[in-house]
Amino acid sequence: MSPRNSASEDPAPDIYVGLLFVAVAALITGCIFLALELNSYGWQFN
Amino acid sequence: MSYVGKILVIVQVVLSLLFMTFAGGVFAVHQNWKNKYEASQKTVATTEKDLKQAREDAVNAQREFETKLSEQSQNAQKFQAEAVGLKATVEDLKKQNALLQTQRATQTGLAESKANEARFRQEEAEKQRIENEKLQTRINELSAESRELKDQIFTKDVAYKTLNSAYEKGLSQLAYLKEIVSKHGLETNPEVVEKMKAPAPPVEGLVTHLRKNKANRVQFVEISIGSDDGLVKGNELDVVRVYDKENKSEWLGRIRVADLGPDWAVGEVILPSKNGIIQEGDNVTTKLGL
Repeated sequence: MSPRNSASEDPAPDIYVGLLFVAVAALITGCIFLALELNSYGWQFN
Repeated sequence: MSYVGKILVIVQVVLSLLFMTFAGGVFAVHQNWKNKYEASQKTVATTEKDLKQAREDAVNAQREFETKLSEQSQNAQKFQAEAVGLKATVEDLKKQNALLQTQRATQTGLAESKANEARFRQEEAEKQRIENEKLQTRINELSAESRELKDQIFTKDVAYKTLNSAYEKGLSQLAYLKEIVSKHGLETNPEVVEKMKAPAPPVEGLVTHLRKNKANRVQFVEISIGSDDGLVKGNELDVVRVYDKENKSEWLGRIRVADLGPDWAVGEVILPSKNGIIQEGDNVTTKLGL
């Protein structure tokens, strides 16, 4: 695969980029839920 | 973007959404086991504390129970001993009961006999009551008679007092007259006077003493017989002298008893003999009866 010139050829965001943002938001939300769950145990794993 | 990149993006989005969903579900639905653990620990600690307290209470209760058990054992032994004693007492009481029943039977018989006797006594008492009423009537009659007799006695008593005063007066007069009679040398004793009326008893005695008057003549003669021989004042006796050898006797005079005792008497010569003189040792007798 040949290197691209990102400065000259900056593709326009499409639906997939939006889906990636949705995926990032879902991951962040899931991590927050898990962090809150760990917080309820005092961040102790044993 | 290639076709594979698109598929991977879509898969990544789906998986991210699943991750978010599971994480949210876990956070929303899960139970806080730590809090439950701590609560359980507290409950366990409280329960252990209660258990310890309960064990201590159980130990104390067991000690107390043992103490009470020993006391109860002692009491049981004591009660057993008392039970033995009570059994003996019960045996004695049974014997006494049998004896008392026998006595009760005897007493019952006696009571029946006493009841019969009491019934008989009651009937007799009724009869006696009737008799008593009759006697009471008789007592009333006798009381009336007694009152009448008391009145008569009172009347008689008044008469007696009158007569007694007259008798006393008569006695004083009699004493005065007796004194006068005695001063004149007369007998006042009725018995003696009565004997004087009777003839002298046939007695014989001796002349023991003589008393002569101024003319040297025998006036009083004491003789050896007295009232025990039956002489009384006024009896007249003959004085004789007996000659044993010649079997003859000589009359010397007559005396009259002027005074006398049980075995002696003094006679006054009332008729002296002209031929002889009375001397001591001469005989006196009432048997001549001249």
